[in-house]
Amino acid sequence: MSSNASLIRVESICRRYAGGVEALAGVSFTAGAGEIVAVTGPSGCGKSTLLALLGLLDQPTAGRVIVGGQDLAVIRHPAQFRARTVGFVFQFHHMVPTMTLLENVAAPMIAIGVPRRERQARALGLLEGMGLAARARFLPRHVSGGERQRAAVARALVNRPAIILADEPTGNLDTGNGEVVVELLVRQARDHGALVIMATHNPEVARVADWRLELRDGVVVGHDASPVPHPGTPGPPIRPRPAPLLIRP
Amino acid sequence: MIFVRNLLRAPIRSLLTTLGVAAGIGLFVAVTAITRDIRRQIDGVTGAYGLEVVTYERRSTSPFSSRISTAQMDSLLARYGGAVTPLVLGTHNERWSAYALVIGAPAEFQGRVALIAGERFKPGSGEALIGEIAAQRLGLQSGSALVLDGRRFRLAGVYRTGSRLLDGGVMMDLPEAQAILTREGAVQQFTLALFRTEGPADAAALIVELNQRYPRLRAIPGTEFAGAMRLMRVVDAFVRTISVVALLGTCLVVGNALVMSLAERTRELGILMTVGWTPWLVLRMLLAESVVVCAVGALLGNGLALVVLRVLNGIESIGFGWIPVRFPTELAAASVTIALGLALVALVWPAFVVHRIQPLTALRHE
Repeated sequence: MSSNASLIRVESICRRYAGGVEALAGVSFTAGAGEIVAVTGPSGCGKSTLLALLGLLDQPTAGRVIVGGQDLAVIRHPAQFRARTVGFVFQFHHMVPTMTLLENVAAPMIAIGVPRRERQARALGLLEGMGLAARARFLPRHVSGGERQRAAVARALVNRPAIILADEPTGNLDTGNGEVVVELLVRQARDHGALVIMATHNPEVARVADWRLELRDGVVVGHDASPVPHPGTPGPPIRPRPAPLLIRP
Repeated sequence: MIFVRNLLRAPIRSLLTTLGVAAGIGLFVAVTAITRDIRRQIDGVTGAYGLEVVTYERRSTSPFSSRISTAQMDSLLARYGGAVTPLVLGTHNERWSAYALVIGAPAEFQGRVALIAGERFKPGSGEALIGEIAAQRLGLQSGSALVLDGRRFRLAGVYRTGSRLLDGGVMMDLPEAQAILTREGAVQQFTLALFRTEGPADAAALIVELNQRYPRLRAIPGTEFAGAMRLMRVVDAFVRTISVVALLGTCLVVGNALVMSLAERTRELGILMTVGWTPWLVLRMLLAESVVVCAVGALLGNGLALVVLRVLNGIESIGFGWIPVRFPTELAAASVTIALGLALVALVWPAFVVHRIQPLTALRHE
């Protein structure tokens, strides 16, 4: 996919926090619809910061993020952008504890004015698809961690967003539940053409990605189109970052 | 019902906040009911008999403090004759009531009062009529004896006017009431002069004439009597002040609870904002919680006001005919409406807080 056909184009973004900490320093890449991108790197390397900038939860101190040809810096209604274009999956599910799974999943639809009946139907349909129909009316504290995370994925998908940003989506799950969640995200990219960008420590998760963006100390130290090797087995070397604007191979 | 679950997550706080609203609304309803009722009772004194014009001392602050001199009353009687009814009203501290209402009126005035038992009093015979409420409270009936100011009166009959103030009193011949209500050594005086007229136009003309001819007196339509009294205006201002303070306090209680709730739910709000909720959507959720607390509080407050009124009414030194035991539906409806308004006003500070929340910061909130 060329940069012209990209869904997201990130141009030399930097994020410097008060106190001079530079979480991101000139990160650039492009990604297209239907792709799965793994953002990897050690803790504190800027993965979550990158996802926050892509999801318009934060603004870069320099550089631009262009989504669908539109510079996020000039978007007037960030909440609407997040509701319509982006689905978030977090490590700690982040469900609202006083809402049932059904209400949690339906919450993003309220933001875009979907009628109540349709909200219920769509949310329930998604929960059914994830094997959670019987748990739909349960509060998050009454279901398992895996079920909560599947519901969180359902919430991310419910508005059929073009981009899904997943921050350590399996970080708090056992292997089985982790695989289920990753499978859900992969299916969303493959079947529905969503761009899935996952920040992860887990090489097993990263290997399902079409390509990988590796960060270290806020800069891209490599990208890789090959499957990520299993732990303990030699994999293809991470290529060093060749240019400020990193184009997927 | 998300808002109910949100309220129940801190049940003690929600309960205390609701009780705070109940206290504020209850105070508002109770004091408003009392003053409105007193006003209605005072208007009832004049309105119950179809008296179109009331004349009282211009300087007086209440009907009981009005003093019309004998010379003035003689002048009124000489000029207007049978259209004038001199009246003496006053309260007397008795063992059976700290505010025993004594009404002194000419014998013919009894013709305007409905007797429910016995017969009319005979002038100068040491007889009196007792109001229905007073008779019930004291367990008296026609033929019983009542001691007032050390004088023994035979109760000739029991009357009913529909005015609780009047029905909690004793009615007797004018000179006997003057003797009871005039302090030792003081000149006997009258309280009010009531005028019957042919109609509103007559009443208006009479009012103008009386006010011009008798500068020390004030003539007004009977329906405006309570409102024109300085005491009632002072009481109204007092009640308004208490009400505003009570309602402001209520608003602060609700607002504080909402801000505390916001502080505890910062991360949740961050989640909702991350999935696209605007601050207005978050506020809508808070509004539902605020409305529930205020509406339930208002209902409890109305119940509380009823209890307070009944308790006060039951204390004879306070309540004897002065404190209502119920209040009009429109006051209850107004109190609920005010409570709902408070639910909105209480959101002002939380709205400010919500608009300052950054989703990312909120998500990281511990």
